[in-house]
Amino acid sequence: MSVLEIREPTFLVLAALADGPKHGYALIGEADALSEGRVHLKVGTLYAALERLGAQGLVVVSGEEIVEGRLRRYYSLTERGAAVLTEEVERMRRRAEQADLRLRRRSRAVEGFAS
Amino acid sequence: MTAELERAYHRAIAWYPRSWRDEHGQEMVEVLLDLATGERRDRPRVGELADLAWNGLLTRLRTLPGVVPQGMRDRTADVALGAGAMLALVMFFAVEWSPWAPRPSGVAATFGVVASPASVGYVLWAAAFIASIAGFARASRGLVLTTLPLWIAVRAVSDAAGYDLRPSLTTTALFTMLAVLSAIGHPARGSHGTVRLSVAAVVSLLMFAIPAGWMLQRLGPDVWMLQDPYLPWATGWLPCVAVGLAVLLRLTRRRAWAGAALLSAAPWLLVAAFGARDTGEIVAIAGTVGLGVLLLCAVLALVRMFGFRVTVQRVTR
Repeated sequence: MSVLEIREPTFLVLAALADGPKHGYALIGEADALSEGRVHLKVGTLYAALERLGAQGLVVVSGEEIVEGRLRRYYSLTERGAAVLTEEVERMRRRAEQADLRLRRRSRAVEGFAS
Repeated sequence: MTAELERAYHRAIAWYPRSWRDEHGQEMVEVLLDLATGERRDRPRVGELADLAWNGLLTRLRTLPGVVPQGMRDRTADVALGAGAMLALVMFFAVEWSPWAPRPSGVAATFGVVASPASVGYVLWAAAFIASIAGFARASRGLVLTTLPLWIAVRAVSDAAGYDLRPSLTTTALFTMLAVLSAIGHPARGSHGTVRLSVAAVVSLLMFAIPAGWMLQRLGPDVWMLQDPYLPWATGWLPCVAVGLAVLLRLTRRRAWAGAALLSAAPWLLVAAFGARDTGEIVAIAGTVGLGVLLLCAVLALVRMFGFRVTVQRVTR
């Protein structure tokens, strides 16, 4: 079990960084897509999460560039960050499997009761 | 229009401390501008501004421990715990219980032999003080922090049950501020800590008990309880003493204690200012504090006249 408590915005930031470095604006879009439009990360919340994840050693700044006169700072997942995300994904998968199992049992019970 | 929007976002991130703005400010503004461009907006969203304000304030709170040195916070915790416990003691005996006087007939409802459930909070403060002296620092902190939600419950229960003598908002605000101050540092442990806490407690007890006793004397022995014994006219002088003390401590190079004296004075100053019934009282308090400082300067000038010199030197380590 993960020692860190991961809330949804934090999970979405980690998940968004799983396939490569991204800048702040891209992270907001990725979080939106990953949550199927349910979570719209606000800029203050995003940077609070990035600061916290940086302090925990899960995320690092991996580069900067100027695009059309605007500063882009890229963030990447560290090895530790990837491990924590993997652990969290496994935990969520186990929970989903347990819930699915119970739903199947329920369906069978309902069918048995009906017949 | 973009320049105006950029200025608006720069104003919005002013909620964050300067160090944060230096590190992330420009980057955050760029992302905000990207979002606005994507949404074809030329004004910030209210939700964005609220989010920046909230996170900015939280960031300021998080960086506070770095601004106030650990030693200063520890001593402030000592003073706040000692002062809170002793004030709780005075409040319990003088306001909640008053065993020396008969219960007045006009009081509709009380909480057993005491006036209100606030007594529970006062007992918790006393227990926290004893726990700290006995070396149970974590238990002490837990007891003090328990009082924070308790005050809300006490006011709600008192309103529902119709206790006439529920604790005032000023009382609960004062104890809340003292609880926060006692939690920002770690009270000293061992015999050294016992001495510190005891000194803070004895000085506090004298400061609270003297006005309370004076009021009892003034109002007569039949007064069942005292209401708000820390009204501006009664304890408005506390910040004045604290400021004077802080200057003296600073002059004697006890920087941590000087800071602790000033920080500990803050709740009293706020209570005095908000408890004041009109601006005249606020002016009177400010005047008292100012007079205190002037008095101290006069004392220092006299010392100089008699051939002594008090110097302030920066200690280089």
